[in-house]
Amino acid sequence: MSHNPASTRLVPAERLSAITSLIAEGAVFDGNFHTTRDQGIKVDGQLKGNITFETGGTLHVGATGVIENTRLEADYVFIEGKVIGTVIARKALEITGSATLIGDASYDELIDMHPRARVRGKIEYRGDIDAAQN
Amino acid sequence: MLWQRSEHQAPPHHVPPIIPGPDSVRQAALQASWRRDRLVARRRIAWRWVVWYFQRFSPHVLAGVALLVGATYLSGSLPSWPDGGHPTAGPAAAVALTPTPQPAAPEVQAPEPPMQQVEGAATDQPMLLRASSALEVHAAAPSPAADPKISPDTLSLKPENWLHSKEP
Repeated sequence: MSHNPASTRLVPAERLSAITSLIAEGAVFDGNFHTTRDQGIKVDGQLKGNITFETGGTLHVGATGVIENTRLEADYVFIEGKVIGTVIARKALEITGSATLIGDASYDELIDMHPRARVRGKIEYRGDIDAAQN
Repeated sequence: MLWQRSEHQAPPHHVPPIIPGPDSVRQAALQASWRRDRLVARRRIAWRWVVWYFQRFSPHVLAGVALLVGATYLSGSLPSWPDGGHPTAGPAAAVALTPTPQPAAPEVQAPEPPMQQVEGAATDQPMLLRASSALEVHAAAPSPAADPKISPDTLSLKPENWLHSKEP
């Protein structure tokens, strides 16, 4: 049995292991997910709605997951599936080679995108772009 | 005593069923999900790479295959030599080595051109044109020796062996 989450580059493994909610493969969830606590959600099924973590939060879109008409906001966003909508990652945004993102994405600190990732939209860095660089 | 039971026949103690805790359920679900994610993602990435390679290199592969097929077809349609060998020279060389037709007889040779004809101007004309025109003149018109009405001045062509006479 595998005890390790998917190989990530930016999103800490402990964040993925601390995911508290799961939309299983084959399930369809129609509605919004909102919390003020630092939790996490993994979407393997289909979700039509928004996901908002006011503080913290980890969003993992599995390879079989599909999120449509959405606005995702969390500290860590790890996309392996398909997302149609707007993505806001307050800390790190990671898009793997199996992912498809149709929409705009913004991040504050880190981003990682696989060369085979399919992105159709705008990628925006929300941090201070004129900050002193080392 | 009979009413006493052995240890094997003792009624089993009531064992409470093992109910997994919520954390273990969550971890099990996550691990199953990760395993499924890994398989799906690997298959999807591999398929994307395959599609990309095909789109990127398929024109080259098709062109190579077309060249190979064309070369094979042409090599099979080329005429073979009677002796089974290969020609040592190309068609152009073969044409160049073909012996020029010799003049039919000494009496058909035209007289020397008039003195006013410049030697350099005559050599500037293409050799093939001179030879072919000479052949046409000899083939169509009768020889000056046979027809006395034709003046030698009207013949501006040199004899066929004019070039050969200057060869060392």
